[in-house]
Amino acid sequence: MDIRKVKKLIELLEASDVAELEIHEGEESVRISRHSAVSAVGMPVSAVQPAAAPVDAAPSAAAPAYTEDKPAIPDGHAITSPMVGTFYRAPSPTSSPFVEVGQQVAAGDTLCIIEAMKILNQIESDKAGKIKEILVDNGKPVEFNQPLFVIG
Amino acid sequence: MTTQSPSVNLTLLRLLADAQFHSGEWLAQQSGRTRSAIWKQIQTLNALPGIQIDAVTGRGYRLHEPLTLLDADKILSYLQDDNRHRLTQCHVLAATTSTNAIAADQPPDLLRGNAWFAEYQTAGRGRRGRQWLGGFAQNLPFSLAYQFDLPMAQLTGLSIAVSTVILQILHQQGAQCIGLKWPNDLITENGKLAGILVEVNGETTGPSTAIIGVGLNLKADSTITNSVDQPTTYLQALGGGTERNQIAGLLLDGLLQLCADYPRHGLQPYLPVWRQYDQYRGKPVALIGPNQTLCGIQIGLADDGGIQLDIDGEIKTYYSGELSLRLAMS
Repeated sequence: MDIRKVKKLIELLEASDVAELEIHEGEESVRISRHSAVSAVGMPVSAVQPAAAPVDAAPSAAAPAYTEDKPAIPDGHAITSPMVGTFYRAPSPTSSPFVEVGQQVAAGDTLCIIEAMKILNQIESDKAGKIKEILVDNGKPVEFNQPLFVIG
Repeated sequence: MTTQSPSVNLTLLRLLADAQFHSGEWLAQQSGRTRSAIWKQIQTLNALPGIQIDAVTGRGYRLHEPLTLLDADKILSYLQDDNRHRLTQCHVLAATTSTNAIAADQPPDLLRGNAWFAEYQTAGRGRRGRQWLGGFAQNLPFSLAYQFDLPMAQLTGLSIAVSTVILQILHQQGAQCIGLKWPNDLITENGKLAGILVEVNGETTGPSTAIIGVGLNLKADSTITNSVDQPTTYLQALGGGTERNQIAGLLLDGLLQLCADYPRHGLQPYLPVWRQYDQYRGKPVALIGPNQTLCGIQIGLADDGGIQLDIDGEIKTYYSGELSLRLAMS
């Protein structure tokens, strides 16, 4: 793995509250963890880490991410929430939703907004395909890594 | 550097900005229009909220009160060299729907270090489509678009950092008694002074583009208090400087510096100041979400920017919702 990439990952970790980061790329992998307990002190039990990078971070207690309690997710490519926040299907309460079930989307199309701390995060599709299912209702809270859409 | 909406004649308004009498003939000469065109445009300007032009036979036209119009070069003169280089362009618009909407409509390459200021917003955007209004050339709505080499989820503390930076700059300009309300409102006892709305897009793995929208009330303006559903206050009432170009330049400079610092240091450096000015700490609050309202005591800001509430003895951190003060009786 490129040393510059590792350096960047360390910077990412430093800029966040994530305690540990593990990345796999092909046969290579790197795990970076911080030993200081900065973020653990004074944090309530339920504090979720919205700053956790949407890579496959090592499962850690720091991010009590979404656990799949909905067994009925259809097969396909899941778009997951990169952060904790509120899920919105439309840009404003009076506008129509970004996407509907059955609609064809291209990679880069906006699927929804996750609002967290007054930041409106436009979540894009990372894959072209048809929206098979929308798993969250408008205005509902979502957890880190929670599946939002299934694209087939 | 300047774009203007065709419906508002900024040239004419600049000629009138000193609030002295100017004859129709002189105005026509200076702006290269006919006198009847000037008369028509005066009517258009007079219809703008917060603008009043007196017409007196034999003396000409006069703005009721002097105006300070935004000027891109003046704004840029307040930027430190490093921050000047971080900015590609500074656009000044006469009237626009909202600076955030203008920014969002630009092609991606215009979203690296571009700023849009407007004299007037017809559809200022608050969170989730709420309107933010103001009089012409009375306030300071602007947006800064900046590209971060970070995944989207790393920018979640940005709105809190932005409010902290703006608070510090306004304090340096002599404004008193400004506090913060989670996550990013600048407030006083009398109402809201400024609102911030950040929109982020990009691939979840990065890079991400943030459009940082700021609406700051500068002057007393009846059009605002009448049209917004919450009390507002303005910088002039707090003893802060109100020279619009200076405030605009200093805020832009501060936000560009923040954009440069954030990838290295994240939210951490801004937490102590935010906590110092937290107006709701220890108070009973309601956190209103689209589907539920939570009531509890606000404990404070979590290190990741979430808000900690004590609800029936259990402390939890929340990341979304509209915070409001709950009166003891309710």
